[in-house]
Amino acid sequence: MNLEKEEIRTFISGKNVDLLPGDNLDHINLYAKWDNDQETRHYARNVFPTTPEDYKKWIEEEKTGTPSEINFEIWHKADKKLIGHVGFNHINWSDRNANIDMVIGEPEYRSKNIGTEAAALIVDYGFNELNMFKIGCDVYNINVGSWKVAEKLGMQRELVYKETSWVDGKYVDAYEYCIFLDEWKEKRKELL
Amino acid sequence: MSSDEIKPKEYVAYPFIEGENVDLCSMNLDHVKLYTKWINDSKARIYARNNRPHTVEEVTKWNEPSESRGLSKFIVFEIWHKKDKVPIGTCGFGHINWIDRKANIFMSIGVPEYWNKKLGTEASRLLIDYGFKELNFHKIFAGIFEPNIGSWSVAEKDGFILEGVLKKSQFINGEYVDSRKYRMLKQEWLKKQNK
Repeated sequence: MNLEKEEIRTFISGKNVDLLPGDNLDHINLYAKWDNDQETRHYARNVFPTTPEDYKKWIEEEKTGTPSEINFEIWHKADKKLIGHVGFNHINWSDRNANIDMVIGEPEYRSKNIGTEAAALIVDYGFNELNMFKIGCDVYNINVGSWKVAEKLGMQRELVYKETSWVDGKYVDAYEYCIFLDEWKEKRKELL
Repeated sequence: MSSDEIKPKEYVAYPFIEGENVDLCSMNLDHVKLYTKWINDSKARIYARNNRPHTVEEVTKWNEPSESRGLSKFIVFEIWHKKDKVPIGTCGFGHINWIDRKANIFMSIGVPEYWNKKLGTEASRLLIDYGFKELNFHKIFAGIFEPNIGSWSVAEKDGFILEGVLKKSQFINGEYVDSRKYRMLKQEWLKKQNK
């Protein structure tokens, strides 16, 4: 049987996108391209340049214990194309919460509900497989597209961090969004 | 371990910021057993979020000079009781973001006899001054758990503003508790100074 590389690695399968392991040495050039791309890095706050070698080093670093972050590649199923990444950062295992991080690196796949689907898959994974209690995300007030995604997922805006980051030559506010396990049980029926 | 083993014959202070009743000193590797005691102390560690034990070797390593050439994301001080000539806790800034010019302020009085004596308040005022006057911060923030009323009422007295509450965000003493998020912007601090 001849499996394609993507088939071997598919970890979570959605309608339009699949999530694959996010640490593929073959794709470090693309990861670095997204991090450095002026438009893509705008709201991702990559203010320092990143090289493919940085990714190689991170991927090859020895990791032990239960991870505090998990990353996935987002693959567009119909186009068989790697379009971005999504994952949890700062997983807190005893409080059972984590924040979502997502980048759609390929511009033509933005604003098409693809990010919403990828985020819904990761939220579902967090609650169903990782036994989380609360999942959230931080978004700048000026990054309207991203906080609209959070609201589509049924997340509530918990608080506003005033003048918390320097973006485009000024201090901007950030919103903290969250959803609890019992809220997600209802919402997932609509989304997945 | 008896307290005699922890206590050096005489403590030595290297004050960096001088206050009225307390000084903020550099951390001192000779006091590392004391720091380890505080960090593991069942009363003190609850609100400091230390839910795992730490060894003297680990705490020593944290306080050893770093090889990194980058500017540190942490600045930690030992709180020194001037009259009693003993270290009583630690405080400082963590998660320092030099681009956003913001940092998380933290404070822990490790010796219970010195609780509720406004020493934490004095130490935090010294730190806030240092943050705005020397480090050129734009924002200082703090997260305090709802049940830790002592700490968040001190923060409010100091002029910190409640930004909001993260619901059920920490698991303490068998239940999920809220976390109160406080902030002080430079312009808010200046306004308070002028009053």
